[in-house]
Amino acid sequence: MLDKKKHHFLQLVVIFGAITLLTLLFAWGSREGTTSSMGMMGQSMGSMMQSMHAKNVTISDLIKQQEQTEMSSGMSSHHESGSMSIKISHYLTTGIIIVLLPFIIAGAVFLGIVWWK
Amino acid sequence: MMQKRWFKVFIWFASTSFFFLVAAILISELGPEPSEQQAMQFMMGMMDAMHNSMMGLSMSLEHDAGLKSLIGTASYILVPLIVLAVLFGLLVRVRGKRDAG
Amino acid sequence: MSVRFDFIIHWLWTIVFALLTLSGLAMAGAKYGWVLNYDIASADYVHRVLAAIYVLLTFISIAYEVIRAVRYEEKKLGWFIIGKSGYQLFTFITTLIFIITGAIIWVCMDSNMSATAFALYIHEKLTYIVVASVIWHIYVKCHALLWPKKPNTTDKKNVAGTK
Ligand code: HEM
Ligand code: HEM
Repeated sequence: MLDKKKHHFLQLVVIFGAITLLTLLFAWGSREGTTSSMGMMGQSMGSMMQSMHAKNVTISDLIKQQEQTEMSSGMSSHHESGSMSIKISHYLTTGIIIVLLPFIIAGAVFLGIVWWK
Repeated sequence: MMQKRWFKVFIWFASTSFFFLVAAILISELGPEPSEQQAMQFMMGMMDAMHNSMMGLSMSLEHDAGLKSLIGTASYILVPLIVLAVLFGLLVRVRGKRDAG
Repeated sequence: MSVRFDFIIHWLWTIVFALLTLSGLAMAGAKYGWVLNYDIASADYVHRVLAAIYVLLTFISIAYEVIRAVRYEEKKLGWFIIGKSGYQLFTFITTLIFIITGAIIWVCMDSNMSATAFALYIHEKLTYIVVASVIWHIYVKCHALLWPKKPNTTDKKNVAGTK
C-alpha cells in the first residue's frame, strides 16, 4: 500500500479526495431546506437535448432532416451577432476543422489498415 | 528535459489540474441540484454565448454560403479520399510483406 | 539538448486537453456552470479555438505516423499520443470520436438538432471516461512526478524524454 513509487500519486488522491468531500458536505449543508427540483435544468446539455429530441430518433431521422431544417432556419436569423474578431476566429476555426476532418478520417483509415495485425 | 526543475513544476501543475477536473466532475455530479438562481445564470451565460461568442455564429451556418460550400467540398472529397487511403494502405502492406519475405 | 518530437506533442496535447475539458465542462449544464463562473461565452470561445488547435495537432500526429508507416519505421515512440496498441490506441480512438462528434455538434447545430443532441451526449460521456483514464495514466506513469534528487544522477526511468 505504501509504495514509495506511487507516493506522490497517493498524496494527490488524498488531498483532492479531502477537498471533494469537504466541498460536497458544505454544498449539501448550505442547501438544507431549499428543495428545488429543477427537473430539466439539472441535466447536462447533452442529456437535456437527448430527452428533448433524441428519445425516439431513428437513423432515417438523421438522414431525412428537411423538417428540422425548415423549422430552425426561420429562427436562426436572430442569432446573427458578433464583433469582427469573433467572426474571423469563427471562419478560421470552422475552416480548419472542416478542411482537416476528411484528411484525419482518411489518415485514420490508412493507419487502421497498415496497423492491422 | 525531464530532470529540469521548471519542467517538474509543470508536470505537477498539469497533474494537479487533472485532479481538479475530476474533483469538479464529482462535486457537480454528486452535489445538490442547481438552484433556480444558478440555472438562470447558466441560461444567461448561454444567451451571452449566442450573442457574443462563436456559438451564435455557428447557429447561422445555414445562411453562410461560403462555409456551406466548404462543407460541401469537404464531404465531397471525403469518400474518394477514404478509397485512396484504403488502396494506399493495402499497397504499403503488400509491399512491406514482399520486402520482408 | 535535443528534445524529441513526440515529447513535445505529448505535453502540448496535455495542455490543450486540460483546457478543452475545463471549458467543455463549464458548458455541460447548470450544475457545472460554477467551474468557469457561468461565463459560457468565454468557455465557448476558448473551447472552439482550442478545438481547432486540437484538430491541427491530431492532423500533424496522423501525418507523422503515416510517413513513418510508409517508411516501415517500426520503433515505438514512447511519448507519442497515438499508436497501434495500449493507451496510445485508446487515445487515438477517443480523439477521433471527440473530433467527429465535435464537428457534428459544430456543423449541425443550425440544421439538425437530433444529430447535435446525439453527438453532444457522446461528447459529454466520453469526457468523463477519458478524464478518468488520464488519472489512471498519471498513476501508471507517476514516476514522472518524482523530483530530481541529485542533478547529475541518471534515473533510468526519467531519461525517457531526452536523447
Ligand atoms: C499530467 C498529466 C500527464 C503525465 C504526468 C503524463 C506522463 C507520461 C509519461 C511519463 C509517459 C511515458 C513516456 C515513456 O515512458 O517513455 C507518457 C506517455 C503517454 N501519454 Fe502521458 N502524461 C500525462 C497526460 C497525458 C494525456 C492528457 C494524454 C492523452 C489524453 C496522454 C497520453 C499518453 C500516451 C498515449 C502515452 C504513450 C502511452 C504508452 O507508451 O503507454 N498523457 N505520459
Ligand atoms: C479533448 C477533447 C474534448 C473534450 C474533453 C471536450 C469536452 C466537451 C464538453 C464536456 C462539452 C459540453 C457537452 C455538453 O454540454 O453536454 C463540449 C461541448 C462542445 N464541444 Fe467539446 N471537447 C473536446 C474536443 C472537441 C473538439 C475537437 C471539438 C470540435 C471539433 C469540440 C466541439 C464542441 C462543441 C461545438 C461543443 C458545444 C458547445 C459549443 O457550442 O461550444 N470539442 N465539449
